Amino acid sequence: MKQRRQRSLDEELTLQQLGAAGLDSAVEDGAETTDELRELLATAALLKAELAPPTPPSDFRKNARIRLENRFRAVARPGLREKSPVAAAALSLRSPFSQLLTGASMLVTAVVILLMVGLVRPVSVAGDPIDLALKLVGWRPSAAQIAATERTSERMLSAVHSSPEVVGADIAAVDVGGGMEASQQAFGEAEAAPMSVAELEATLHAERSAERAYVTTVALHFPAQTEPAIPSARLMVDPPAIRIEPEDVNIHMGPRDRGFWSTPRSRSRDVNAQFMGPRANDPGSRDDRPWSRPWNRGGQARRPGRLTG
Amino acid sequence: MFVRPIALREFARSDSPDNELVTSAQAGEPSAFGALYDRYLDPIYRYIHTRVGNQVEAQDLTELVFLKAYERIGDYEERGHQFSAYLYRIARNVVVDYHRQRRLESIDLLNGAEHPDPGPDEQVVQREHARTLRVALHQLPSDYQEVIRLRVLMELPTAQVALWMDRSDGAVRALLYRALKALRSQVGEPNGVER
Repeated sequence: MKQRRQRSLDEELTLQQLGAAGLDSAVEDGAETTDELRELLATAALLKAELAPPTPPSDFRKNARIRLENRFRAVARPGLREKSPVAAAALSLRSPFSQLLTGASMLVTAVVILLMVGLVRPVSVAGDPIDLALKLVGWRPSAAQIAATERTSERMLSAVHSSPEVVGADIAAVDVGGGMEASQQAFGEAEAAPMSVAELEATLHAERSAERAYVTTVALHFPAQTEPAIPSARLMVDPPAIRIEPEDVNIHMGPRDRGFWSTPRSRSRDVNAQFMGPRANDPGSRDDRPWSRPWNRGGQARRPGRLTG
Repeated sequence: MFVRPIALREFARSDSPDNELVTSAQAGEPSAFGALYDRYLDPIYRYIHTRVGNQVEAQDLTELVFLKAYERIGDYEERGHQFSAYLYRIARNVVVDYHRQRRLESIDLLNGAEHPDPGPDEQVVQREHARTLRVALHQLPSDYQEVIRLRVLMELPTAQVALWMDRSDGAVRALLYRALKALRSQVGEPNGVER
């Protein structure tokens, strides 16, 4: 019976037509006549014509993607069930340039937060950045060297203290050179051997004696940082006077074998106090220096410019 | 420390199977989710459009579906259901929530749909036809409505409808037959049927 009915229907309605409408089993499901099938097909066609959803607008895919990116800002990545501002910020990135910028700012923010909460503290300066650099590379100056370089180190430290960008940073090594050359060296040869205080002073003396007009750059290498994330600073030493160029401060974060994050807390008590000084172009505001602040009194912060062995 | 940002422009491996993309997305690979997004944007959008009948709302809800899917992808387990079915369920729930919040489903369905404008006379007739169909469709049982939306309006293959509705292919065909038959009895004889 069914076969006969099927054969009859197939004479007028191909299975392809029925299949296209999803009615290829309509006969088995109870369709009795060709007319009934025609009506079902017509109903389906009418539905499709009247109510079929449109394809998305041509710009919808692109715009939706952008909007979705924006909405992704409000959620954390999978696995981060709580909405994290850091993760949300990361999710909001679009262009590689903005990714780089935001990534760097995130790292800076994270470091600042960690410093604030005391989970991570940078290496103790214990005097000045040169001293820190020497400590980090394991070199200890002799008393004679200390005496010979104290003046230079004072100037260096003064310059460092005049640079707000140095606040909270730690330094692993020092390179001295002329102008852009040193800067490029600092950025291009992060593993370059650090300069000792004596060498530094000799170099500076040579610069002074030559009365060169150009600016000498002292590039300070910092310990292990895989990302140049923290704003860097460059000390501009313009012999005979060492002066800071706050507009062009550029301290390189060169990778070193001593990890920033593994720094023992005991060594990092007063780094902020050491580096936090009066802002550039306001060297006389000693009252603003960190060691004069109440929270830094008590022997932790020391006067700059004194090398310790 | 550095959280890798999501970048939906990275639509890598768009030819990979869903399960591979899902696994990668669950591991935090943004491009994998981007590929899934690219793959299922259209069907999810069209499905939602059949439910809300409004382009702007459909776009917003579509984005919401993918947002929810992204949030919950860590909890997704395949368990025999394809990711598209997972998205479909999210979409269905999103639409239900949408109508529940607005409590205007009938108004939206009956009056809110957008159509290209033909001539004035045809427009009136066509709108009336569409309205009649919407009323009839809306009065059908929900599974009838759903199979018509998926199989007829969206023209999804029977196999995919079966996956989404968690039924066998045969059950979908039978359901569609009954749904169309019920709809035909509601609207009467469709116009243009030749005897």
